[in-house]
Amino acid sequence: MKVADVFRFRNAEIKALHLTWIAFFITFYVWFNMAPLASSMLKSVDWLTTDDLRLFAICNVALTIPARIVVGMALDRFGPRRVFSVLMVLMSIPALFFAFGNTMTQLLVSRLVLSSIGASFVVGIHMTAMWFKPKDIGFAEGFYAGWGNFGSAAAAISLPTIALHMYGGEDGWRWAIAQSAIVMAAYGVYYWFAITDGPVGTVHRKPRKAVALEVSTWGDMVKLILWTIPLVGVLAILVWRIQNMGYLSTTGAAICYAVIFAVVCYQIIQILRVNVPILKKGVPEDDKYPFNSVAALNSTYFANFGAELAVVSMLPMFFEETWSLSATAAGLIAASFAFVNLVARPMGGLVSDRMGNRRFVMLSYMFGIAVGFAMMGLMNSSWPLIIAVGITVFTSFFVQGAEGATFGIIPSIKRRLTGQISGMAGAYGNVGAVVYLTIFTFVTPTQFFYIIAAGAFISWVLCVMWLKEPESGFSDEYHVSSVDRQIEEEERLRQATATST
Amino acid sequence: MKIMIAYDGSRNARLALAQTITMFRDLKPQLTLVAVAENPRDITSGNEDLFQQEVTELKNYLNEAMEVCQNEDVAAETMLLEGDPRKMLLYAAEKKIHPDMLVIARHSHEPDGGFIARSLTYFVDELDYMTFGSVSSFLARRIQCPLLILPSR
Repeated sequence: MKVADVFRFRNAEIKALHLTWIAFFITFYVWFNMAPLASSMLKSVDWLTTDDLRLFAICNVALTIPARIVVGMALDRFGPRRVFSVLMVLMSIPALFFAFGNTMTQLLVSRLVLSSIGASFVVGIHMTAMWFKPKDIGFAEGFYAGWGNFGSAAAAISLPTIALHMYGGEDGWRWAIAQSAIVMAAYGVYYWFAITDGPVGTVHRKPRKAVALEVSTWGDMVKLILWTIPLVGVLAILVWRIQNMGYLSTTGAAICYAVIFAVVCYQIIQILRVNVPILKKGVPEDDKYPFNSVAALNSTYFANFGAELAVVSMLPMFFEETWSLSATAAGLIAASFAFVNLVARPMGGLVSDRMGNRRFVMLSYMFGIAVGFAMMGLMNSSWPLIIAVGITVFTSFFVQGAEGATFGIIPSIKRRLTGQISGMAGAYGNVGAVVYLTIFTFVTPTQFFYIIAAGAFISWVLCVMWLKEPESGFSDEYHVSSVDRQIEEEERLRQATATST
Repeated sequence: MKIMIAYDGSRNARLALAQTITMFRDLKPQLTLVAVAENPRDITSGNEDLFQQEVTELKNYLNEAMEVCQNEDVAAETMLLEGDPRKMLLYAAEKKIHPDMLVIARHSHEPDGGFIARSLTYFVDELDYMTFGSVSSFLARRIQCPLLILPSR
C-alpha cells in the first residue's frame, strides 16, 4: 500500500478507514472540548475558579482506563461497529449534561463520565485491523491514530469561534459543547449503518480470553504487578485531589479508595492466577520475552501521550494568559500542538519501520521530547509569539512521532501478546495524563513544562537501560526442500498449536 | 549454478521466476525460492492470527512455485523466513544459501493519481532512500553476490 492510496475512496477498506478515523476524530473533538473554552467558562460562570477547571481537566482523563477494560470486553462480544456507535451515542449524554450543568457536582460528574470516551481509540484500532491486509495494517493504524488525534486540534481551532461568533453571548460555550455532542450522537447513528465489521464475509473471531498478561520469569511477574498497580491506583490521586478541594466528604473518599484498592487487588489476583501455573511449569527458552521492554514502552507512552493529553488540556489557557490574546487566537495557536498529528504520528511509525533500528528511533524521539519541553519551559511573554509557536510545533512533532514509534515496537516484542501489551501501554498514556494534570494543579505552566521534560528524560534513561531491539526470527526459519516439505508442514502445525514465535 | 530468488507470490515475483527459468535453464540451475513473512504491524490481539494467515499464504505461493519448477524440470527448494524482508533476504543469502546469483523483482512504484498523491509518494520514496530503503535498493547496496533486478512490466 502506498501513502497515496488513502485517496481511493472507492476501495471498501479505504472507505472504512476514513469512516473510522472520522469517528475517532469526533470523539477526540468532544473529549477535548473544554480546554479551548476554559476562559469563556470562567467569564460566564461566576463561581468557577481556575483550580476547578484544572480539576475538570484531571477528571477528563480519569475514567478512560477502566472504560478501556469495559470496552475491551464489549469489543470481543459485539464487534467494533456496534461498540463505536453505542459509545458515541451514549457519551453524548454526559457531554450535554456538562454543557448545561449549573452546579459543581453536575459539571464534575458529567466530565468524569465523559472521560470514558477516550476508550474509543481501542475500538477504531480493532476496526482498522479487521479491514486491512497484514502488509498495510501498520500504516493504516498509524494513519487512523494520527488523524483521529487531530480532533483535539480541531476543537481548539473551531470551538472558540463557534462559541463567541456563531452563538455568542453568555452561554455561547454551552451551545458550542452541546453542538459537538449532538454531532457526535448523529455520527454514531450514521456509523452503525455505514460500515460493517471487516469486509463482507469476515468471520468475527473471538480472541482467547485473556485476563492478565503472561510473563516469562518470576522476576518479570513481580515487575508486572508493580506496573499494574498504577493503572487503576492512579485514580487515588484524583480522589485525594477532589477531597482536598472540598468537593468530597471523608466518607465518600474512603469508599472511593476502597473501590480502587479492591480493583487493584483483583487485578493482582488475576495476574497470579494466570502466571503461577505457567511459571511453575517453566517457560520454554524460545517462548520467553523480556518484560523490561514492555515496562520501557509503558514509560514512553506515559511520557509522550500522557504529555500530549495534559498539554492539550492546558495550552490554550497558557497562551491566552501569557501573551494576553483573545480566546479565539489562543485556541488557534494552541492547536499548533496537535496540528502536527496529521503527519507526525504516521511518520513515527514509518520512520521506525524504515530505519531498521527501532530502538534508536525511539531513543531519538524521547530525547527530542525532553529538549522540546525544556525549551517550552523557557518561553515567556517577552518571546515573540512566532518563535513560541515554532517551538510548540517542534516539540509536538517529537511527541507524536514518539507515539507512533512506541506502537511501532509493540508488535515485535511478543506477537502472541500484542493486544495485551498495547492495551497496557495505551493505558499508561492516560496514567501519565492524570499524573501530569494533577501536578499541574500545584505548579505554574513554566514549571509544568520542565516537569514534563524531566519525565521524558527519565523515560529515555529507562529505554537506554531496558529497551531491547526486537530480534526478527533468526532462530525460526522453515527450510523446506522438495523432499521434506510434508514433515515440515506437520511440524508447523504443531508449532502453531504450541504458540511459538 | 545456485540461484536464489526472492519470492513473495506477487505478479512480479512470478514473472521473475519465469524469466529466470527461461534465461538460465541451460546452466542447470539449482533454484532456492526464499519468502519472508513480515511481522504485521498490528497492535490488536489479532496480530498472531494475521501472521499465521500470512505464513499460510506464502507457503501456498511457494508450493505453487515448486510445482512450476517441477513442470519445467528445474531443481528447486524453498525457504520461508520471518522478520524484516530486507534484513532476512540478506541474511539468507550471506549466511545460509551462498548463491551464485540473487534474483529479485523490483516492485513498480509508478505514482499514479493526482498531484497530491504523486508528491506524497515521491516524499515517501525519498524517505525510503534516505533511510533503509526498499528491498531492492537495500540489497543492491549490501549484497555480496551478483544481483539481478528484474524490472516489473
